[in-house]
Parts: sequence; structure tokens; C-alpha cells
Amino acid sequence: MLVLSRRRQEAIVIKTLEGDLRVVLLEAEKGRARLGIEAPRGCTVLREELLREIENANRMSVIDDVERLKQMLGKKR
Amino acid sequence: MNSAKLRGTIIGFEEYQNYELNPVAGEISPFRLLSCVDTPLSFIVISPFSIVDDYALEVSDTIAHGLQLHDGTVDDVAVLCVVRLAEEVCYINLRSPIIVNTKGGLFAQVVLENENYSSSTPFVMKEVRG
Repeated sequence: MLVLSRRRQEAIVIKTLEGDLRVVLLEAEKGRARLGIEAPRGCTVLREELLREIENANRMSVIDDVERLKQMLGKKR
Repeated sequence: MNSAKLRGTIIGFEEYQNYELNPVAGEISPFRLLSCVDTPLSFIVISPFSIVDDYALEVSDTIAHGLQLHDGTVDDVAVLCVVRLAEEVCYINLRSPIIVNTKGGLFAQVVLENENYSSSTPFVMKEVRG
């Protein structure tokens, strides 16, 4: 992982094929930072924990035995 | 939209892109099965509108563009949410619906900004007799 130090109002820029993604450090205190993000169209900016939560929900929803499922849904249909 | 070949990805399973959407428990059932063509990987999906009356979502221009929906009509769009079956209660992921271009055979699982929608909203299935 690339590690950079930034002061308030300083930014980093990530150049992508879609355009520049800019992250500014707005405030930082007591182990908490407020970031400002300017992302090009086509970029989705998410809190990582939400993305992991959705991956996890998807993973828990996987059906590997379709026949058993059909029996189950047939019963409740 | 009963049986269709679709191209797109499910979050966390980006290595797979080819899916089929099929009925799972007869044509009457609101459930559909989204199955990967290349590996044993299936998801039960349902229209969120059949679970939540006032479900609303906004599809960004970027997603619409990616799904080639820019010159289509609303008739070509379907919204489906992944369902997790458990013994007593079932869960629906309202936070990240699957947007489908039914005409173009494309889909994308998006993440909504609306924090009122949970990725695991419980609901109860009732037995239908007759």
C-alpha cells in the first residue's frame, strides 16, 4: 500500500482513464479525518464497510443447490 | 421477463459476467433465479416493488449509459433485488438492486445512496393454497 502524509486542504490525485479522482483532507483530529472527494463520472465512491456488507449479503444469498431450492419455494409458493 | 440471457456482474463476484434469468417456482411465482452460465452460482431475485410498496431509486447517468439505457424507455428496464432465504424469515437486499436492460440483455448491481434501505431487510413468505 502506498502511504502518503497530507496536511489540511492538501489533496492527492489519482489519474484514471475516466479522469482525475481527487481526495482532499478537509479536517483531521482525534483519529478521524474528513475527506472531500471529487470523482469523475463513472466512478462510484463508497464507504468500504458498505461495499463489504453488500459482498457479504450476496455471498450469503448464493444458491448452490437449485433443486433443493425449487422444492422449498414450491412448498411455500 | 421470464427467461433471458444477461450480461453483467454481481458485487463480490466480478469474475463472472454471463448469467441467465429463469423462473424458479413456476411462472406465477414472483421469484426468479439469476444463474451464472459458467459456474454453479445462482441468486434468487425478486422485484422490490412486490415487497415494498413505495420503493424508489435513482439510476445515475453513468449506470444508465453503461447499461445502454440512454435511448430506451422505462419499459426496457427491470429492477430486481437479491433475496436470501432462511428458515423462518427471508431477507431482501434493497440497498443494492440489480438494474436490468431487458431489451439489451445487460445488468448492473448498483449501490443506492439512500441509507434507509438495508442490504438485509427481513420479510415473510406466506404459503399460498389452492
